[in-house]
Formats: sequence, structure tokens, C-alpha cells
Amino acid sequence: MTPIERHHALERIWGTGPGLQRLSAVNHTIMGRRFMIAALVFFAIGGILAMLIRTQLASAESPFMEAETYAQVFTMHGVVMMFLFAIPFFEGLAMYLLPKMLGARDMAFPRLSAYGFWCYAFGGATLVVALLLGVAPNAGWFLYPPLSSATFTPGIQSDIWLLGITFVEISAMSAAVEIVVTILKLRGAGMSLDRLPIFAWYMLIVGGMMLVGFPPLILGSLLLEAERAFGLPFFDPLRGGDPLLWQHLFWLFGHPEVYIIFLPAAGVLSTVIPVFSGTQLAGYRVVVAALVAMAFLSFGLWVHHMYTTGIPHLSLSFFSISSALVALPTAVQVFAWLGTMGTGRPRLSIPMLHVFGFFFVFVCGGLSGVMLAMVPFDMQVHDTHFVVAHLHYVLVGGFVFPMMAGAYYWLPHICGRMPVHQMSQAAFWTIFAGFNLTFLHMHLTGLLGMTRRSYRYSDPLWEVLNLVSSIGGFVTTIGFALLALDLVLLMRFGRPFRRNPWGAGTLEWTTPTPPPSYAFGAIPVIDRRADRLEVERMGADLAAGRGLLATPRGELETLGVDPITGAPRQIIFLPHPTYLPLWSALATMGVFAGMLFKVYPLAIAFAALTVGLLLCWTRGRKAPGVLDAGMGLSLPQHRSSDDPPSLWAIRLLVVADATAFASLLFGAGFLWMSAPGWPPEDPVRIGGILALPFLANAALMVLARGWAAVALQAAVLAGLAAALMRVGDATAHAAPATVMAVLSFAAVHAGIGLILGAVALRGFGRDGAIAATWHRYAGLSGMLAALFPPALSLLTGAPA
Amino acid sequence: MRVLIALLGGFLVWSAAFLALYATQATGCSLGWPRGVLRAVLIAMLAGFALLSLVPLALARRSADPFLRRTATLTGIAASAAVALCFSGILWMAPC
Ligand SMILES: [Cu+2]
Repeated sequence: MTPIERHHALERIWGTGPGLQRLSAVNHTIMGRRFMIAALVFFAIGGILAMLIRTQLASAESPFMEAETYAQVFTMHGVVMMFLFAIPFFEGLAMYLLPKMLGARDMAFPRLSAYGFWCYAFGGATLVVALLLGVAPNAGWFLYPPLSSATFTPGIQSDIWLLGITFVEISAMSAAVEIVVTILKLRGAGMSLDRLPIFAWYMLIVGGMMLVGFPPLILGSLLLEAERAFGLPFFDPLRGGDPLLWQHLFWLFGHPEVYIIFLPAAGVLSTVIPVFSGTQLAGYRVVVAALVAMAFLSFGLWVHHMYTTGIPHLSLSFFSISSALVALPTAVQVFAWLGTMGTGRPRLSIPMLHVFGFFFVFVCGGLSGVMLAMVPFDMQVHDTHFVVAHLHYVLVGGFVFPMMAGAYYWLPHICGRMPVHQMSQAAFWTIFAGFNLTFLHMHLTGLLGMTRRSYRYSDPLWEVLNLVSSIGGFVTTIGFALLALDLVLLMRFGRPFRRNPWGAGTLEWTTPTPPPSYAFGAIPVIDRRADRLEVERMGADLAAGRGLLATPRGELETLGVDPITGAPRQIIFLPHPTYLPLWSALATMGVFAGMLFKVYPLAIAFAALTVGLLLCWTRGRKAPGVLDAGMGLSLPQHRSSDDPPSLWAIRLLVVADATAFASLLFGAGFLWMSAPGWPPEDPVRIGGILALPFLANAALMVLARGWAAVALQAAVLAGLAAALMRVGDATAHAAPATVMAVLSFAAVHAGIGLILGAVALRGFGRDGAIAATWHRYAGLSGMLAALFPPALSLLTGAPA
Repeated sequence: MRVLIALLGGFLVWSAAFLALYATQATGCSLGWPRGVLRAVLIAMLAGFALLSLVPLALARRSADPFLRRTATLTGIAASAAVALCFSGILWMAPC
């Protein structure tokens, strides 16, 4: 088979049809590009909003915007940049790059990518439409209650934030599962854990962080929405709730989020800097160790956003020291990059210019970050423009500049053309100068006392500083417009090249450019660290079919490996293009729309439809047993292997779900200890009925398969329903409300277990093992949930 | 699996220490435990976690794979240092 014949054969199997069939695309190259393009559209929208803010603040007593409009504009600027630009952009980059860097033909769950994309697109569009209609969220991008509660923000504005962001976060959770499973399982043969390209290490850590970082936010959103819609008073201090609970849950997500955004960008730097320095990354192992340290430390410092809320000094010291400590692994990476450049010969091409922009801006942001970690200093500048300046230095320095370096570096891969260096320099310097002009002296504006979110002021000194910031803001915008124009020109008129224009050593440059849908003609065999490969030789070899799975068989095949050693273990069949993700996302949107407009029967109907559609995904064909993988190797098909990717996915989902459950228990404990109005006058008395779900859940952990599991889940559900009836008036006090929340959480899990158990009875492939994993987890968390009401009444001094 | 424990174990101990110490301190203050008792409990817990954080370090040293031995040793040292530093306030600050 010639390379051309192989190309056509593979393209017939992997390609997506033209016209409307594009809506059925599940391919990672297409999905990655779609995510990135959509994110850039939102970046432009967020940028326009920033310009409106700067126009308003350019002069004192400005008549440009009403206070209400201004509130919507700055809220949406933050929401769009954090949730609709930064996260989806790196998800798109990861989807595009990871399979190509790892030597796989696609991500582990292509339909999940597509479903995530549609959820993101629909959710983001909802928020933008709300802005155009003048009903956008207006309580700040972190939506603090009581400002965002039904009392002070009636109407649907806060609901749009809560439901819209939760809808968008479906894409973040699905991307996290996908990224982790893909890196662990879908690689070229022989790519052991210590041979991963460094970018994959970064994304593996980020994926893990997303799995435990997002659930607290999703939980908080659901609780606040329950308060707004049904009056369950989790955040209402008059009824035993506490607005601080929201701050805890939000920042439990919000601070790791900063590192979740920074690490992919740092991964880009660790990939780009060695290439342009003509050497290897200094201290690969040290960088991996620093990543692990950073991943954990970044969770132990959320309270540094809450120093002024009256928390005891001793606990503040835990958070303050962690906040300062996390600078160390960051510094380790910065020194690794400097060391890399020091040992090599840096070439000052366009990506490197942006790398220098990163160094300057990010290090400034890091330094003011260490200042803010210190409690006394933070008390001074809390909620002022100093913090605004700091966060823009960190996020623009730590995300936007590295990603622009990445764009110039990988755009040739995406479109097959090289930059022509006309406008690139001018664009960079305009952005760099404009950015510093906007934010450098904003530190001073803040020190002088100008609070963030204020929409007019009268001090003449502030006016000078703000005017300079506004001019800087417009210069920055001009710079971004130049950059966009430059990139468009590159795509249209760039110089074509054949392979590996930068002299890189990573696998993605072995594919043709622009890349075909199947990425590799054959799955590569790796014998050294995967950023020191001989790209030219391997590219020709793979196109000629010298590798695994080189003979097309009509299925979308890629290799599954052992997560540690990279030894080939299975042949994974991936799904053909399908409209199911689109229909599922539309049905999911129906659920959110029903909740937004408070038409709950509609929401329930759509939820049933969504579940039905999601179940259609798993209709499997019968799996062949053992297949020829080429090069004399025979491997089982993934459905008949004992370690399929779907089993990893369910384990990761359990980790994410357990985080949400732990956050819920933390929230209940926090209210009991800190909220005003405890203990409640009317204690929660449920009685012995909870013994049934407790015992059934305990039994589930042993009998997690077959009819027994289904019957036990039904018993759990019945017991919980009976217990929920007895909770009493959950709107009266946070105590019955938390009991209601914990029991409902357990009930939802039993319901899911019932469906999974029923599906497993049909006996397709590994469904039994997947359902059993869920049953054991639901059993354990359900036992805790059943113990929760008696424990709470014991703590509040009234035996159940 | 053992590999992952060696690599992540130190910081898992750090996370557990964080949650346990933070929760104990908050509970003790909320229930109005005597200062000396609360401090003694916290110090005992801290000592326990400090010892526990050395276990992954020992595991890492016995690993056969050189990459993991070196990387896990680094994270183990970092985690033990983080346990000692982050919670040092227990020794000298007022517990509530
Ligand atoms: Cu923070």
C-alpha cells in the first residue's frame, strides 16, 4: 500500500462529510479548532466590554453609562474572560495537540468533546444574548450573595449566571475526563510516563486539578440557585445560612482556577522555549515535581481572597504561608526556562518575543501576588484597583502572552503556512506598551484607595491616573487588532512549508500540515523522550506505514497502552461522526431553559430526554476478540480488554463527584459552626426510616452487580424519598435545608445507579464493571448521607 | 499504582493535614475548648502528619525506576517541608 493509497483509505474512515454533516463532527482536530475559534470570538466580546469600562472610567463623573449598565458590563467582562475565553481556549489547544503529541489518532472520547463543545457554545451564547437584551448578570463575576440573592437581585440575571455557567462547566468537566484518560491510555507504543512530552505532563496535572477544582463551584451554583428558586436558605443569615459559605465554595474553585489557567500556558512555554533555544528543557524531572507541588498547594490558599472576613489568625496563617509557598514551584519553572535559554542559543523569532513579554509581565504579577499573600498588606488594598492590576498582570502575563507565543508557534501546523514577519513585531510592542500603560500605575490608583467596581469618582488625581489607563487600554486594543490581522494574513498569504519549520522534536510535527483527520498513517513506536525525536525521519516512516495499525480495517482505530510503561495493551475503536452529541446538548439546554424560566415540568421532561439520548451513545456493536496490530503484534479490542478507557472515565467521574459531596458536607459543617442563628429552634427529626437506605447502601458495596444492585438502589431510593417527606419546612432554616440537600444528593446518585444497573443487565462489554464502580461509590457516599441527619441533630443538641 | 502513591503521597498527606487541622481548629474554637487543650491536640496532630509525610519519601527511595525515584523524592521533600512550614503557626499563634 503506497502512502497515497493509505491516506485515501484512512481519510474515508476518519473524515467528516461536507455541508450540514459538519455538525456531526467528533474529530479532535475539528473540535480543537472550534473550541479555539469560539474562545477567540468571546475574547473579542470581552475586549469590547473592557473598552466600555475604560471609557466610563476615563473621566470623573462620567455620563457614559448608567450604573446598572456598568454593573452588567464589568460582570460580563469577568465572566466572559474567565469562563468563556481562557478555559475553553486551552481545552481547544489540548484537544488539537494532545493526540498528535502522544502518537494517538484522536482523544479518548470524541463524542464527549463534541457534546462539551455544544454545551459551551449554547451556554456562552445564552450569556451574550442576555447581555444584548440588557438582562446580563450584574452582581460581579464572582456573584457574591447577599447581593446576588433573590432579595437584592430579583429577576433572572443571577439565574443566568448560575445556570449558564453550570451549563458551560459541563464542557470543562468532560474535557478534564478526556484529557486525563487520553494522556494515561492513548499513546504511541513505548511512550512510558517518563517519556511524555512535557506539555502532556502539564495537561495531565491540569486535568486532575479541574476534576477537583470545578465541583465546588458547580455545587455552590446549585445551592444558590436552590435558594433563589425554592427559598432554601443556604446563604441567608436571617435563616441560619451564611453568605461566607458562597465565598468558600467559590474560591475553593476560584484560586486553583488561576493555576488551571496558568499551567497550560506554562506547558506551552516549556515546549516553545527549548525549541527556540536549540536545546532541551533544563530539569525535566524538577519541573514535573514542581507541577505536582503546585497542583496541591494551589488548593490550600483559597482563603487569601477572604482575609477581611474575620477568620481566626491561626487559620489565616495556614492560607498565607501556602499562598507564599506556591510561588516556589512557580519560580522553579521560571528558572528552568531561564536555564534552558542560558544553556542554548536563543533565536529571537516572533514566539520568543511573546515569551519575553510573558517574563516581564508575569514576574511583576507574581511579585505583587506575594505582597497580597501577606495578611496585613492585603487588608490595606483589599478590593481596590491594586488587586485589579495584580490579577491582570498574572492572567495576561501568565496566559495571554504565552498563548500568543503558542499561536505563532502552532498556527503553521494548523494551516500549513509560516508567518511573514510584517506586522508581528509592531503588534507585539503595541500590546506590550499598551498593557503596561493600562495596568502598571493602576497599582497606584488602588493604593490611593480607588475601589474596584466603582463606576464614578471625583478625586482629580484619580482622574489623571484613570485617563492614562484608558488610553493604555485603547492602545492595547489596537495592538490586538494588529495581531488578529497579522494572523489572518498568515493564514491567507503565509509561506507554505513542508515539515517541521522550527526544528522541533515533538510528534505533532511528524504529521502533514494542515493535518489529516487521522493524524498518523501508522501509530509511532517511541524509544526515547518524546520531545527529542527525529521528526523528519519519523514523518516519512509513519506516512509509509512503518508503525502499528498501519492497515486500515474500516474502523477508527488507535492504540491503548499501559499508563506507566507505555506497552501496547489494546486496540481502541473510536466512534464515527454522529449527531447524537448535538441532540444531547440541545436536550440539556432544554433542562437549563426550563429551570431558568422556572417551568419545572419542562425541565424534568428534557432531563429524561437527555438521559435517554446519552444512553443511546453506549449502544455497542459486538466486539471482536483479538486483532492484528501490525509489526507481529496481536492485541485485544478495547471492549474485550479488562482495562478499557471507559472504566478510567468512571473512576475519574467518581473522584469529581466525591469532591462535590465532600464540599457539601464541608458546607453543612461550616454553617453549623459559623452561621448565625444556630442551633435552629425546630430541630430536624427524621427518625428510623434512614436505617433502610443506610443498610441498603452498605449491602451495595458488597453486592454491586446484577439484579441485586438494581433492587438495592431501588430500596435506597424508596427510603430516601420517605425520609425527604419528613424533613419538614426546608425554607425555615438552613438546618433542614442542608439535610434536604444531602439526602437529595444521595437520591440522585441512587437514581443514576438504578439506570446504570439496568443498562448493565443488558450485558454489553464492560458495562457491568462500570456500573459496579458507581454502585460501590454510591453505597459509600450514601451511607455517609444517611448518617448525616442524625449527626446534625446530635451536634445541634436535639437527639433524632 | 505504587508509583502514583510515591509521586503524590507526600502532598496527599499535606492536603489531609490541611483539612484536618483547619477543621479541628475551627471546631475547637466553635465549641469553646480550653486553649491549652486545643493547642495540644493540634500539635499532636501536626507531629503525626509530619511523620506520615515521610512515608512516601521512604517509598520513593525503594522504587526501581530512576525517573520516579528522583521525581518522587523531590516531591516528597517538598511536601514534608510544606507540612512543617504551613502549619508552624500552631506552635506560636493563639488558636482562636
Ligand atoms: Cu487566589
